[in-house]
Amino acid sequence: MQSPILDLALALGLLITAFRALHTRVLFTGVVFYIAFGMLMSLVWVRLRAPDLALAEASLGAGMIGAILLDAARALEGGTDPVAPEPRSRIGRLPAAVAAVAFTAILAVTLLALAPGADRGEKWNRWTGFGTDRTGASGADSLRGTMTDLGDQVATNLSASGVTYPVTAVLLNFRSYDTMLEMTVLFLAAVGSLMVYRSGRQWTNREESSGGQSVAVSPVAEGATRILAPFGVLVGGYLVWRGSSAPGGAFQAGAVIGAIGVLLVLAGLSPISGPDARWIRVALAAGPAAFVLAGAAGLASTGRFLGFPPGRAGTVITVIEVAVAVGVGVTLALLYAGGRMERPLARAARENSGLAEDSHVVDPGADPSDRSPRGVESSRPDRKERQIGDPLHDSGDDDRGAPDERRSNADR
Amino acid sequence: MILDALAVLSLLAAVIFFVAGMLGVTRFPDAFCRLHAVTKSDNLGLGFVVLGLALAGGSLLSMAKLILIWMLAVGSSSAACFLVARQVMIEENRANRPPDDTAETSSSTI
Repeated sequence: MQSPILDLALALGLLITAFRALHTRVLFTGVVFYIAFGMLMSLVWVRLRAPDLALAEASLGAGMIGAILLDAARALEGGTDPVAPEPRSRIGRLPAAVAAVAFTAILAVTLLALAPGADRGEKWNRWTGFGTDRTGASGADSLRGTMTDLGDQVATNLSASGVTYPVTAVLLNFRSYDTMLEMTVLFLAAVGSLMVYRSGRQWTNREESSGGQSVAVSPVAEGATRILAPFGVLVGGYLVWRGSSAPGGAFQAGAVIGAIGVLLVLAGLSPISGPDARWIRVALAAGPAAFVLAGAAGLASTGRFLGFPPGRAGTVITVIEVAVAVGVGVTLALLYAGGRMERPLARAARENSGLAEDSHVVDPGADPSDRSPRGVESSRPDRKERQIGDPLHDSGDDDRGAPDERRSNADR
Repeated sequence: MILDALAVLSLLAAVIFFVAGMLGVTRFPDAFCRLHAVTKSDNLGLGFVVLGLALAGGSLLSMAKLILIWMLAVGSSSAACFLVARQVMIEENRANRPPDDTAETSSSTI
């Protein structure tokens, strides 16, 4: 559907929000503009007739990454104060500007040349190399031919793929090798972030710089999360099931489940109690493991790794999709929850001493016998027993006075 | 025919409410006022969009789905509005040391 005004407005909106997101002195403003950019980008994907990408962009770009960036902005000096502009060297900017302009120009020329039926004259052909050579063949024509060839190949083989939606067929059957490697990359990212969480003395400093105030979880937050979380799981399951015949799919479902994980963490209901929980490891490994197992089964039955027999391809794809959705969801929730996790030692000490927390300092590096001021001053737990006094009336100093004696009791 | 006209009217009303909400967000002086603008008028605008689509678009099942989605959006944005307001109030109380009128007159503990 031709709608040049809408497309132009979206393009302008993209440029403006991207510019505002980068050129701001307040981190929080930048993150908010980035979230707006994500929403506009998802509309652009709809206009480009890629609804799966629109779903992924809305849930991941605007949702998950927005939440992670807000947390990061808060960790960096609170994120609401303007940062001083750093002096930038003038020398480095000119080559970067030239490279950026050249890259954009090449992209624009390529896109214009690929437009169907484009023949822009002799000078264009000579300058861009997209012209016809002596045999009459054109570079742009062969590029266009490749694109339609692939589309035709997918269309002819769709019935043998086990699903009826071409995007899912390409992702999980024709190019399942690429998706398997994507899942491995995600798994490595999760492992890498777990390694960072474990070594986390820097999280102590983060809480110091932001004042270390704790806020009790409101019953409204907990109640709303209790109502919304099942809806989220339902939407995730629906997207997985629907992905075989309509826009949807495992990654989008995983993003929704990750967003539900973020809600649970914020409401104090998170089931992620630490990086060592076995179910987390199983869930993280489920994605790549499902691919490898399916590939081995395919090797056994059809003689090719990841070769699905046409009769059973649908079932195999569904199983893989469920595993991918769970794995992606847990990875994303873990990435968000990681900044608020506590080490098992600190948690055990807190539980044994039975005291309620007074601040959500994460102290993964300390053991219970540490007498430093940040000793066992635990962390954001997976329960909501963090209500010390009335957060709407408390002054910050009150929180400091009370726990000293309790902490000394805990150290016994 | 009548249904299409009503649908167009609903969508126009939705545009008006969204523009009003946008003006409120940019021009209101206080965080709480801006929350009013965002939550109330944007959700009402969304309701008019849903009404217009339901009038224009056909099956009873899709109408019911749209209305359910709107109710979900209203519920979750109300909760979000409350939580944002609560956070603003907490931070204002933290910033105003020693306690002044703001802290003493707020009696809510949720």
